Amino acid sequence: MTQIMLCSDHQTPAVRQAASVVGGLCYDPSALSSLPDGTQQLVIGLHGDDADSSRFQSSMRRIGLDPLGVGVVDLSGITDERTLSAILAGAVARTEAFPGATPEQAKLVPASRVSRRGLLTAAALLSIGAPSIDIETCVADQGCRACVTSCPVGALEWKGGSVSYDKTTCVACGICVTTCPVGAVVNPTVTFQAIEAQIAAMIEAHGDPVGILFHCRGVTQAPVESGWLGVEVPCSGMLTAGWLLATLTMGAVATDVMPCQEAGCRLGNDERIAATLTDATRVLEAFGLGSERIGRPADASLPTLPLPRPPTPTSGPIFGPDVEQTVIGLLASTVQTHSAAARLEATPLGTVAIDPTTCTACSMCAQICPTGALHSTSTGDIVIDLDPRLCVACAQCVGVCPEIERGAISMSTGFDLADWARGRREMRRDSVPQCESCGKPVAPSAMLERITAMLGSEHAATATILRTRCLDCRGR
Amino acid sequence: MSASDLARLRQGAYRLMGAGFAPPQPDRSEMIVGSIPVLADLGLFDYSFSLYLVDYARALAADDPGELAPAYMALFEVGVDGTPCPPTESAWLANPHTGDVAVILSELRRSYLRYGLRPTDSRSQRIDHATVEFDVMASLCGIEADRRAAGRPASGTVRHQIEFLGDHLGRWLPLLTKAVVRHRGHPTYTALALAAHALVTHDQEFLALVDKHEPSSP
Repeated sequence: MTQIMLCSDHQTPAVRQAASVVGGLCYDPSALSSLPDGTQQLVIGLHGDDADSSRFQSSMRRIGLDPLGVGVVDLSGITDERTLSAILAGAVARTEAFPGATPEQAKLVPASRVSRRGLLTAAALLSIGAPSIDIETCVADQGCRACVTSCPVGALEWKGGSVSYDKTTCVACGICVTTCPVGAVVNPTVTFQAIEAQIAAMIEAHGDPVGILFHCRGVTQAPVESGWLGVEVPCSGMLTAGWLLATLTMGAVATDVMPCQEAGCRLGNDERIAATLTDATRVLEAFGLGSERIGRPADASLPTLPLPRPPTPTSGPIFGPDVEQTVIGLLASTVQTHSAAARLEATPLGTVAIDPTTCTACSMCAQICPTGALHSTSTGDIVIDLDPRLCVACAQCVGVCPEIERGAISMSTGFDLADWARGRREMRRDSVPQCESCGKPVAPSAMLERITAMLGSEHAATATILRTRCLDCRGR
Repeated sequence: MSASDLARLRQGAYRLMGAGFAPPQPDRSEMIVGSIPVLADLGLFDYSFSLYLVDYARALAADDPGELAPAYMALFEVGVDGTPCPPTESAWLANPHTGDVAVILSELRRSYLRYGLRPTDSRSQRIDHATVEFDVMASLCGIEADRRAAGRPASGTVRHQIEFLGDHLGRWLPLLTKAVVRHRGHPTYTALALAAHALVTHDQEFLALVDKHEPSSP
């Protein structure tokens, strides 16, 4: 059971009926002294950001609740009944989807900017959600470094087939969560399931057309424009076009992003945020759905109707590591087209081209591909194939290619439904000569030719051995 | 809360964990359960590990002392195929065939002496046992609390704590915790292992923050 506790100020009668109202809760966290039997989750509604967060966290622990799993919403300035109900419904849904946190997933931060002396006098510390890596799901052992390269503060490091994480350096921005192509990075306070649950509950509870405004946790005042409902994320830089578009496919009529400061993102993700908004607009335009649903006009007005619903709505979750692919599929189904395409900048969608004249078929691209978009088989000939629907434009195939200077592989970002419709197809095929001694495969012919050319006539004898003997037989 | 009180709180938490890993006795269980309100007065609930400590104390309070001793023995001392979850550092970090056990024990002995502690190894309680290592951390926290209370710099003892967690307790406790959780033995010992892990995980991050902000003392 989820209990809702609200500070007594400014609540409408209907909201008061649905919740426990506690006088002075904003200023006295010790009022959270007991909960009704059976309470497993808690949502508290406060006014303004001057509440003492560290004392609230302490009070939550005292009654046996993990503060990371308690929904805290700022209701100041919100008087509209539907908006209040929607915000609380969203907070309850997100709280109920909290998966629990391990000790590793709690990060300590000073409750406010304190002097170093402040820390020594045991200044209050806050716990916030931090990412952890599920090593069972992580594909770093294949060479994937997607989270490492995306981390804006260098808190992740790839070493020997695994990713190490420095919690002290981490700023818990969440970018690694949305960058990981396989969903191995989890921050318990911002899971795909919880975000989807929150948005769905808010849209349903409000009833009228609503816009979803993703805002950074650093935003001091939650947005209160009419019809816009806020969804807090650790940093706006973690958002992808897929997240924005997913809200539209769920029934929101518009969506936008609010960074932590008016001047922009304090972590310097402004370009990334702008590219995400541009990409979301381009995708809508590619489907002929108009771009007015991305961003807020000056008067914060909303389009009157949501996107048309697809004839067969998705049965599974929309948010996930493959949210982009899911959303593109839903939009294609909505407008019943097979020909939309768009070039994108920052969205994890892409495709790969291989130049058969320079590719040596070494397959390193397929080995490192974290999603299996590129795949190689080596029964007889070596074959590298591609399913563009699975490509997340991580470009690790490009980074690992030993023949990149000769243009053996290239990647473009964006999507093309016609290309997706072709499905998996062969990109490169090469014969593999057998060892003259034992019959085992030696190496792809193109690779052997390349090595032979590099060795030149001076090392012709060595080249002959390389071409005709497998690794095991070369020394015999 | 003063920095001295915080060190005292951490000292108590480590002492409590050390007692938890010792063979169960009714008096000891009472002491552990009874220490929670004392730690609460020192600000226990300001820290995330408090949830795990309270869970452990609750589980312990609900236990029949008669059941706990065999469960302790089955988990931490004997088993058909060896000890399932040995609570000693060398069992997790040493290769017994290469003499690593002796190396680890010798490193530990040197560390204890450097911290101003005198190790007393015995057959019943080796110096790499969880009880001893948690007590060492408790002692270092106690030294820190005394120094801070006296207005003296404590960066040296903070570094000792960071070093000890980084080189010893913090390296093998996660392995023990995983083993205890996987073994699904007595729920009280699962709660103990999780509490110990939460405390050490919290402290490694907390001490790194303190070390980053605290001016070095000569």
